[in-house]
Amino acid sequence: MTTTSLDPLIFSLSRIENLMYRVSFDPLEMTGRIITNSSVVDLEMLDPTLRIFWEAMESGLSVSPLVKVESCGRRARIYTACSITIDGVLLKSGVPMRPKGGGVIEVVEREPVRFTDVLMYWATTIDPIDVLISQELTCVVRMMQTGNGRILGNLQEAPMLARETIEEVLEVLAEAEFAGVLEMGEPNMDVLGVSVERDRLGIALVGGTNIIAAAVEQGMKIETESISGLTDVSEMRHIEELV
Amino acid sequence: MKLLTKAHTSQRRLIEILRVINDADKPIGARAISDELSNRGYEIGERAARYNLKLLDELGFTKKRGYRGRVLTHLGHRELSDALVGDRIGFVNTRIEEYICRTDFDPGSTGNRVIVNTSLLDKRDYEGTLEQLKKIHDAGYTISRRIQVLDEGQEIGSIKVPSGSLAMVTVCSITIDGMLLKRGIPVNTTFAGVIEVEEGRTTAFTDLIAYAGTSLDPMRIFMARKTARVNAAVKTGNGMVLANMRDIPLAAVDLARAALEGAKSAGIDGLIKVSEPGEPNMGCPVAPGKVGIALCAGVNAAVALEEAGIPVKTSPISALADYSKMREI
Repeated sequence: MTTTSLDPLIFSLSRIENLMYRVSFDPLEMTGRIITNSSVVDLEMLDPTLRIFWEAMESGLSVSPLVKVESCGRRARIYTACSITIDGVLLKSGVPMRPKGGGVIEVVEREPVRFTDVLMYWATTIDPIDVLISQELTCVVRMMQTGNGRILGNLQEAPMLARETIEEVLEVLAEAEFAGVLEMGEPNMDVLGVSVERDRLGIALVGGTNIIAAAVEQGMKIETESISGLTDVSEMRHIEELV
Repeated sequence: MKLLTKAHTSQRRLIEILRVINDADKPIGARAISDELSNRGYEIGERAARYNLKLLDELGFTKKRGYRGRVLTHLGHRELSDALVGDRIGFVNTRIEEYICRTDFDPGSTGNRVIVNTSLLDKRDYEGTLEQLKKIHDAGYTISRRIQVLDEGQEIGSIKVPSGSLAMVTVCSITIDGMLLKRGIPVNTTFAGVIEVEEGRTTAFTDLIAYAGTSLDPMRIFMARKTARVNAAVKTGNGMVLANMRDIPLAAVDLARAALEGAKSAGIDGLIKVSEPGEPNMGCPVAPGKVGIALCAGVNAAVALEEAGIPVKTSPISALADYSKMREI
């Protein structure tokens, strides 16, 4: 019997807040660091994977078209933007963003209608999106082809009095091609079927990992780590330059 | 998808009707549905039930079967698993509580009903599985050596064993939570997780998911991710097994230890570690004023079979079974 009690494990929420704090992205200057997901593929699968990423981005299923490719031996690592970057930028604008959880969102005729499954960040040490990709609950490709399907998304809350600031910051971000708001709820009202706390508003963002889910659904072998680190935008390029 | 446009309260009522139809084992009529809804706190008369059923028929979620009975359609089943996600967060906790209310296993009493997991496997794969299971039991990564094997056509809970298959019924760790409850201890099943085994000893959790924070069953999540390495743990002493955690008040720890000892002598064990007061249990958080009890997951047996390449379909916490009819392997 061991006598040590070991330190408690770190849950997703703490990991995310640590990264949010370190975001230094300035959308006006296009400088600083954003939060990225990473995908590792075999070198010969790099081009087909980037092509699927690009198609998924064209369907509005990503946060930003910026990517960074790094070769490591016979494999390549692709960094793509994570939606928590948006929380980070809002945080730096003085909005206390609270990431709540990740989930699967049902899309009908290109309209996101509801979360069908949710995993709260406080409750898990594995990123919810990584969990959900492995449960085969998504139909990202079908959504791209027919407008109906299931995609990955996440949910955050903010105080309702920050609404104007949020809208302003989102506009600046959109001009820098950082998008992905699926729904911004009215204060106190459900967002895609999930309730929010009193005097707060909920925002559902498209998961940056949808592009990875699209590739996985098409049989690509990808090792993925979502919300894994920070990347400087100056090292990233528009995906159109790469495909 | 027209259901989505309904206001939340009426949507809830419609979903409750779908649940009632789903829980019934045969087609069910408006009268019986109305009675059952009343048991569940929804006061809807027979006429209103009839009206709502017509609505559900139009939406394609239910259909008439025979004389005035209703059953769910494929779409209805899907809607039941997709709608009202907010109501489904933490649903496993609700199911656990239902089962710990219903189990009556206690080595100090005549109660014999234990909570079980059910794993379906192909009959042709049966040979060799018992040998495999024996090793996992010997290593101590399950709850009990006793199992029950059901043949095709037999039923357990809501599961009917399909032809060509067998059901392997194993004791679920929640049985122990039920026993603690019966002894007056407020038990709260908190986390499911993966625990590392080094040199034959369980050392620390590597991943955790709280039952209260997800609309998916955490144990199923870990099974689908295939993160465990039960056979490696058994063979080499180094691997990963699935486990879960429950909190009890500090004041109850002596009683709980005595209960665990009693269960052990009746063949139900699986204890990994009782934490020190308020301290994390092998990396798993425990609330101040509480003690965390880590137990092996009963599904480790099924996980080990899957790792050995035997396709298994497992439903954790799926039924109650008579412990005296289960046999040791």
